[in-house]
Amino acid sequence: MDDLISELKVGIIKHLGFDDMEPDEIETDAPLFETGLGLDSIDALELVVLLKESYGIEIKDIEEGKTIFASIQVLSEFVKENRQK
Amino acid sequence: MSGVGIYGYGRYDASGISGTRRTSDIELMGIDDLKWKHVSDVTYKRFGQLDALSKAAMAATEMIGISELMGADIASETGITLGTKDGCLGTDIDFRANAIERDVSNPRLFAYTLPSTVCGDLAIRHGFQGANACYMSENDNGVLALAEGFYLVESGELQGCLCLEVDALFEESASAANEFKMNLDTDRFSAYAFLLMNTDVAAGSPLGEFAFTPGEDCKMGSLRELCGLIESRGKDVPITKIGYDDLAVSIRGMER
Repeated sequence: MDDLISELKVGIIKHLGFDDMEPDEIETDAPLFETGLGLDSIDALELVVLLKESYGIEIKDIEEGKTIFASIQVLSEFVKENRQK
Repeated sequence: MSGVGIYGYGRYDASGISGTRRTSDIELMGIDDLKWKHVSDVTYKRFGQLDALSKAAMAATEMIGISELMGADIASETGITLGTKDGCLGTDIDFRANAIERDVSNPRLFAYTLPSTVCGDLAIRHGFQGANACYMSENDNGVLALAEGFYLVESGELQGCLCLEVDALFEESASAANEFKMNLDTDRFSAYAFLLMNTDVAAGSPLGEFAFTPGEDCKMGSLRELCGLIESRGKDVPITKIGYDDLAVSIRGMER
């Protein structure tokens, strides 16, 4: 598994409190919201905090967030291009 | 003639985890070590996201086995009443301490700086769409929650009501509280959950039924005591009176 994708999955499990999940249970190309992992709006805020603290990326536009958080794959590509840490 | 019965109970406190339909076979563990797999075989991935108060309430409620007692049609007419002494105080302290330590506040913690969030978590999990109420007071908050639940079902406003008395305050929160010049007792958690249902719609026999027949009453001051009575008696707990005036649940013919 791509190191960054693995790192994101571990980060999501840890920061979003999914104690009983393993990284392998998160599908890389599955939607993060509604279906797939089924994240909600508070999870979205947590992801914004995660991006800032772990990668130095600030999400200022909520509409931008909807595109970035489409899936782990999309998120990892965004982080690769924009990370400051 | 329809009545109101107690069809299930659940307990999570220092004496263990137990209830009507399920008994956890694990050794007692504190909130920090408790995982959902210890409580249920059914998947619920959000358990780790809950704060201590919601975890305690969720664990006790799971011991009732609600899905075995009611279908979606009754659940949609079931509400929740919650009594709590400390409310979300532990989470309030954690949120404040977290905000001081980090640059940003924790959005998940913020959602739990409101004790009635417990009701929301339970309603989502069990499909309850009836009225919710949260009572905070130094004493009698659990019996008040039970009294309100009884009246909501007895009046026909609801077909069922989950009535809870929950408190959760832990050492870490108390340590943080000391930094804010607060003195708190530490490490206390308890959750008692009772499912009341209209006897006309419930399947099976109730554990206890509210009956206004005069008798030798024994008054209790907490849901913990009611839990103890049900566990020691099994079924057939005749509850004779419950009301706002004395905020007590009276049990016919029982010694305290």
